[in-house]
Amino acid sequence: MKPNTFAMRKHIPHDLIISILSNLPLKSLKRFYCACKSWALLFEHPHFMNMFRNNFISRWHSYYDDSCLFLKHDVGDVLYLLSGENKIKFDWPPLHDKIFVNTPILILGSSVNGILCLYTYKNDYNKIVLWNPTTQEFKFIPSALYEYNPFELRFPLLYGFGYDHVTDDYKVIQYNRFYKHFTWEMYSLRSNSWKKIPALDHVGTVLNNYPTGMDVHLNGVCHWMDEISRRLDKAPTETEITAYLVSFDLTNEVVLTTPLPIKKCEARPVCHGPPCFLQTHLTVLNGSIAFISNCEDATTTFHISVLGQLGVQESWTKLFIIGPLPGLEHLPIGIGRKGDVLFKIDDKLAWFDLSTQMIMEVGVREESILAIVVGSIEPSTIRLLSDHLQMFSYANLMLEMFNPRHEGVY
Amino acid sequence: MAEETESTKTEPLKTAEEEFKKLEITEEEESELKLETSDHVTFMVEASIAMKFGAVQQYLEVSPAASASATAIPLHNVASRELILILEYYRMHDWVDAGERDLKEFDERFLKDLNYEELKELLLAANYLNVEKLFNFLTKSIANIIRNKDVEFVRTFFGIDNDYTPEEEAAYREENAWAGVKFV
Repeated sequence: MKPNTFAMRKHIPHDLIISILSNLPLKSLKRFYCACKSWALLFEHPHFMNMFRNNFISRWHSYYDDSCLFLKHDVGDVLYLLSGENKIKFDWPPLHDKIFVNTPILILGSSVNGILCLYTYKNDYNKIVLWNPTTQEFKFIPSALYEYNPFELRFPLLYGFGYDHVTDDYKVIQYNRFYKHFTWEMYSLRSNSWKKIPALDHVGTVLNNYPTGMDVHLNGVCHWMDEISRRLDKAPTETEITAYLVSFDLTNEVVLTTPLPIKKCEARPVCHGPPCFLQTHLTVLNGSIAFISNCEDATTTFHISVLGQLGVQESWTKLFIIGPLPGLEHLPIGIGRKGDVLFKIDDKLAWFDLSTQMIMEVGVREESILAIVVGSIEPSTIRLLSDHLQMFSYANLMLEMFNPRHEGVY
Repeated sequence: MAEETESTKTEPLKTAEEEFKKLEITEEEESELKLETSDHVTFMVEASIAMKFGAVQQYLEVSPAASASATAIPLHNVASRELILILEYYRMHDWVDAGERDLKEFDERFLKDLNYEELKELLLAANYLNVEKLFNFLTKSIANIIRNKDVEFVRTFFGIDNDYTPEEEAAYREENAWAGVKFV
């Protein structure tokens, strides 16, 4: 751009300004709210909102360069990778053994650089594996810090799987609940060990079960939904439970919490019984953290809010309303390429196109689909994992399986 | 050996001749339209490009006789310097051999050569001519320029009068502080 004499000669009509502003990211747009009164009303302008939404989902983002679906069945160890029209069958890494017989295999978050973090658990014990479906390489990771007393009951919950691009390392976050206290710890593939994360100590979790559809990874930060109980200042005997987005930076180990865009009374995922249900889902929509819920009315209509700035509750902006979708029994499963939302309607998988509001069925009709992960496999980064995994051999796996901790617990 | 060299010599001659014939044909087929800008400069523009302009299409629908090239199609709100730029943009983007990388480089250079005032004039011209591709390119580029700027810059850029009272503005700035609004 040439240096400029900044005198205003031409007046730009309002409709042209609107076309320009609709291309801005959420944060810039909110900043320009106070330019003049008519700009502050843009979000109530249906024509502007349509343009803004379309630009928002059509903006190219590498995260969606190649989005694939991993379809997991509850019967047998079958995993399908669905990429466009192709359906490829994969065999699971050997997670099942004499201890973990027919335990459900779960996927933590989504794939990161083509790698999946799989785990299975039984009572208070879990087994975690990092796995590259394309190369079939896998690496069992130790289940926790070794310093814990093997006779003390420990309930581990896995919270995040992500990639730290500064140190070129894959990391897993785990919460351990003991009888009277809890700890947070992080696994690093490079050091092949766990360490405690003091930064998360003030984030107590009240979730009892393994969370699904609650954790996402974006640019080296793991995000998950949690409920934080706090003593009320006015009445110290009572606690207030608030739903939060917890964001943990894998590189500098800094934690940030953002209240979710739901009212207090709706914070707990309470089931109102059929046909009404209340569901929430955390996902990534074109490079932004997005929160999907039917919280406002507990129907088959879903609202998608996008986070403008981490840590700022007011920066949640409701961008899309989907539905009502008859036949919908489950919350959206995930968001794929170009902002297509994946739903399960009448036991069939279907993509919902946010820009055209059209539903496209996926050519998969299995009724026993248990978990679906929307992820991407980027061939350029797969090599990285191979480098990491080369050092781990089958001998390593055998060592993990005969880990003395197993014998101690069972 | 000798025969081969002879044949290789004649080959390129033939193809060159054919190419020349092809060129003649395309030249004959390619009709031109006369466009007249607001500063009364007339341009002979390839019909294939001129027909991409919504304003030209509309004019021809109303008065089809203008395509006979005798009368100039008036473009009241486009000056010659803008039309030159628009034609440059469309000739490049219409060129079959232009790869994705070439176009990206061209777009960057195209933008670099414009100052803010010229950019706005070009946007107005693109809007008047109803040329979608260039219009979208310009709106995206302007959005890119202003995205990290402050409110004052944007007001000056668009020539917007602040119609808030100082109290109202302060309240808005506080409310949207997360978006990086500096306090005055």
